[in-house]
Parts: sequence; C-alpha cells; structure tokens
Amino acid sequence: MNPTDLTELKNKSATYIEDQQLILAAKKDPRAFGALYNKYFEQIYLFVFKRVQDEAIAGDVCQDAMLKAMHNIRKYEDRGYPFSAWLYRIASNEVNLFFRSQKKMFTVEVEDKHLKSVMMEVKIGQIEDEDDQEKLIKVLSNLKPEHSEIIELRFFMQYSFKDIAEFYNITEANAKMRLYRILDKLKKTWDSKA
Amino acid sequence: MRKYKVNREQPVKLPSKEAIEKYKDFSRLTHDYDKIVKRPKVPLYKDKRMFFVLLFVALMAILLAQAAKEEETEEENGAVEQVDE
Repeated sequence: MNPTDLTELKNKSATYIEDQQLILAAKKDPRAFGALYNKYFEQIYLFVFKRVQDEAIAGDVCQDAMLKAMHNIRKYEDRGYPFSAWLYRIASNEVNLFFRSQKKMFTVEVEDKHLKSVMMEVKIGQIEDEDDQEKLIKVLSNLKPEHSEIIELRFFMQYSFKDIAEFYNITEANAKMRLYRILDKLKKTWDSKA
Repeated sequence: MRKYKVNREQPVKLPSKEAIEKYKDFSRLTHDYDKIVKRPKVPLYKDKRMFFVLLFVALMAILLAQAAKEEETEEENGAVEQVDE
C-alpha cells in the first residue's frame, strides 16, 4: 500500500468514526442532526441539482430529503457503507418522487458526450448521428425514473461501479448486473423502435 | 414526469458555494420536523373537520348498534311465534 492510499484510508476511517458519533448523537436527540446537515448539505444539494438542473427546485428537494433523513435517523443501521450513501439514496428517491409529481413534462438536459458514451456502451446507432441521439433521448425519457437513475449515475454523473454499489448498498458485481440489465432493456426498446 | 433534451452547447453550470448557502437553512428544517413530529396544538374536538368526522363515526356506530339490536329482537320474536304455533 502506498502512502497516498494509506492517507486516504486514514481520512476515510476518521470520517467514518466522526459520522458514527454524529449519528449516535442525532439518534438520541434529532436536533443534533444539524451537524450532519451542515456537513453533507452541499454534497447532497449538488447531487440533486445535477439531476433536476434548477437551483430553487434542488433547494426544496434537498430540504425534503434532509427532513426525511432527520425523521428516520433512528432507523438508520450501519451496514459498513458511508453515511453519505444513505443520504444520497434518500435524495435520489425524493428526486424520483419530484419527477413523478410533475403534471407537465420536466425537461432535463443531457450533454451529447454523455449520450455518446451510452451509445458506445450499448452499441446502438451512429454515435455522431444527431437523429440517433434524439432517438436515444426518447428511449431514455420513456424509462421509469428508478430505471434511468442508474444510467444517470454511471454515464451522466460518471459514478464508478464502487460508487454505485455504495449508493445502492449492494456489491460491485450486483451494481454491474443491475446496470447491464437496464441497458439490455434500453437496447431492446431501441431495436423495437428501429 | 421527466424528459431529456440534448445539450450540444455549454454544459449546465453548477451553482456557486454562495448560491448553495442560500438554500441551507437548518432552522427551517427543525421547524418542518416539529410540524411532523409534535402533536397538533388544537385538540381533535376543537378542529372543525375532525369534529364532524368524529360526529359522523359516532352516529354511524349508534345507528349500526340500533340496527343490530332491532334485528336481534325480531329474531327473538320470530322464535317465540314459532313456539306458539
């Protein structure tokens, strides 16, 4: 193990221990959740913002997610994953709920380079063909928010499989399996629209 | 629902730290939390809507009890008539 890895590991365990103490305090008195709120608000806000792309909506959704976390902190169980993963999952569920609650279509922009990476991975269409990119956009838009979530994490937000595994509280192998299952579905829908 | 749109120009800019700070408000969160957790200040019987709901439930219970009682008496009477015959 090189010195950089060792420092990273030390930092991680320091964060983990600090979080455990803060969680314990918040479990005893929910008002102590403030320390966790201050520590993670920015991270969670940015995560939500990347998905909804609107500052005010991200603020509201983030606040709702934090409220749910504060309300359910007593139910939190340490399963060896970072506390932030639990918060990210709550925030993501809130984002999905927000999308579902919208009566009008809510538009989210996707950079063309990210679309190209999906096309390369699934091996569909001509990467530079704008019509094919538009077709992929339609197929993606028809996916349920829960299904497109993992695609967003992997291709639009560049999460590693390790990050995705932490996010879902699953193993890396299961994270890969889950993603490729959704990509398979995506390919089938693409082929049926050919 | 949500739909995607291709962005071929500049990527979406992330908000600045100052912009994020604007939305960070723990006192609002505790206020919302209290609203969920704490018991309502107005007692149930003083809440107009709840009062009518409670009244409706009570009336229904009385009516059902009366109906059951009447049915029971009718059955008893029927049994007595059969014995008389």
